[in-house]
Amino acid sequence: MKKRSICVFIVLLIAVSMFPFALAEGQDTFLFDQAGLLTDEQVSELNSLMDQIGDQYGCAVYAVTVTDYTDYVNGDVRSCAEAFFTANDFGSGNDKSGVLLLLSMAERDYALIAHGYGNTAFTDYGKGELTDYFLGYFANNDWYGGFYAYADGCRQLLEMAANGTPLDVPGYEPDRSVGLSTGAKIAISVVVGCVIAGIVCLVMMAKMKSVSKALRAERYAVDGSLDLIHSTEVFSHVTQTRVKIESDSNRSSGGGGTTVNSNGFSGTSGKF
Amino acid sequence: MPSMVNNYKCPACTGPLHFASSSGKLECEYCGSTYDVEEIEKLYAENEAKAEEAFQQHEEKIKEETQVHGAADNEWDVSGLNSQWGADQEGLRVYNCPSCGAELICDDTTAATSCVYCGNPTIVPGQFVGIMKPDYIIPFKLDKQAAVDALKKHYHGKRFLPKLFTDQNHIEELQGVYVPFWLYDGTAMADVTFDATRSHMHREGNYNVTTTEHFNVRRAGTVDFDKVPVDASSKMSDDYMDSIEPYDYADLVPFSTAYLPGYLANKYDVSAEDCSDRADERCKRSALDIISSTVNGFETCSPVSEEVQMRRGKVSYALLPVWMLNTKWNGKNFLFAMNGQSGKMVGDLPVSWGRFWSMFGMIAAPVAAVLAVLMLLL
Repeated sequence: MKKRSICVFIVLLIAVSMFPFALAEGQDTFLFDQAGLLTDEQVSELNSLMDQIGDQYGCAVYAVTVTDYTDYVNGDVRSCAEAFFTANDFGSGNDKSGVLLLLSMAERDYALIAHGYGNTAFTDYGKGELTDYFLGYFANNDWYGGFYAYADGCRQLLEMAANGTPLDVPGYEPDRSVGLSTGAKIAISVVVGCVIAGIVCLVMMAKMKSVSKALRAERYAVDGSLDLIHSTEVFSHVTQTRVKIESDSNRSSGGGGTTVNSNGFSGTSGKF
Repeated sequence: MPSMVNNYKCPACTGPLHFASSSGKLECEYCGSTYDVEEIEKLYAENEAKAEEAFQQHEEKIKEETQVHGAADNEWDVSGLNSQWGADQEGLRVYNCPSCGAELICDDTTAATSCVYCGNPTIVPGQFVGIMKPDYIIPFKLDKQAAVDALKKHYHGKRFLPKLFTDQNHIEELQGVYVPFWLYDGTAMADVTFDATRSHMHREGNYNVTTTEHFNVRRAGTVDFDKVPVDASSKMSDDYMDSIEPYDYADLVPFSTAYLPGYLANKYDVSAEDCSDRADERCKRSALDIISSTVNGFETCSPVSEEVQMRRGKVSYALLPVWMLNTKWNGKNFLFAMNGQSGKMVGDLPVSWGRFWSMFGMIAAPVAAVLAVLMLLL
């Protein structure tokens, strides 16, 4: 028992030691610029912005820059982001709600992950739209612009989620039945009942009418009397339409929602 | 002056003969003898040979005066129409309805007690003047009992029909009426151009490419129409007569007054020229449909221009059989008409709004209840 406790302590110590700057900078820090991309003033400003967004929507917003993510993990850049999130006990509330953007400068990799309520607010489609929003800045080495766009994008998606409509695939309708009140369910039932009754009664009423004017006289056309004196089909022109086939693998393939792994994270990654 | 025949009398006992629709023969009310219509007509024709010759000479003179020049002027050929009834006229009576103006014709063995169009019971005898003699007639094939049964079947199963309507319907007042019709022959000449397309799709890299071929299609031709009917009475609603179509012209026979006993006939009061627009309209629409049906092998086919002209042919005047009942309900007139040959019954029925809303509630309530329970439980 004693040996087991010592082993757990050592594992935690190693985990924490991999991400030393988190503990060193305190729990009010949301922007970790280990790669040195921003000035102190920019870090302070962006940190305040992310803090304010996290407080407002109950979902913490984080950003991390590292020189090379492979210094920390043996997996991919996304697993590095998840390890960072877990090791530093990030997230708001009991379900550790949060979103984190990690930039690795060596190979210009990025990972965007979410946890807890963050999986609801940042759907697969929403993450795709968010990355489209800020990646352009990073591609041009505009680091402040990129992180500001990231924070602003997070605020917009969290606002939509707070209004009950998280950004998702067009036409995708999440299951809302759980959210309907009793009164709304009864009202829907009454409306559907009236519509069905109305259709049935109108069909029955239509049978009360049997008089209508004849518009045609096909039955009086003499059989075989059709004499075609002119029958031509002349080719005129050709038109072409080209429609691009959508194949974005970072986004939900039409089904909507958020794909969450066994660790409770959802995410996307790529190059900038 | 040849002797005039008042009506068809039984050769055996001189009793009055009436046309029985069930057997298609003339039957004597007194001795029960039956005769074919042709047999009686031949008998009377032989007896009135000299009178017929005189009338025919008079008809030839009228035909020359009214001869139409035909296709060159594209006028309707009404040369066959005439108002010379000959010996038949003496056996016929005319009744006028002072309420709606209908002129009803019947033989002198039939009592016209009320107007079939408006139900007015005070109809008065009128003058048999200027009434065109029909060319053809389709005799009644179904008797009054068949009409009563058809009307009861027409009411059956109509849940919104007020109960009092059927109770107070005076169904026994069904009356057999020969309705006047103009039958138009003609040829429609149609010329239509279409924009037609065919398309196919293939993939090029990351694109789906749809290639659409456009064609200018033209069809022009003629279609003949035979005996397109338009009712010639302003008292009879066109939509009612359209609705009881079709009549089987295989039963169309040359007119004879022998078919009238027991039934009323209405005199036409709308001329062939005035009715022709209806026939033209129906023929033109059908000609366009027939011409368009010859365009095949395209995915879409939209008409760009349509031109139809009617080449007018012969017009015939015919009496077609209709069983009719005119009834009032809550101040509104309801007319029921049955094709006296095929038995097709038409007539709009009144709606009881009390029954409507009752049925509405009986359906809406349980459906809403079941749906609400399911939604609350799930």
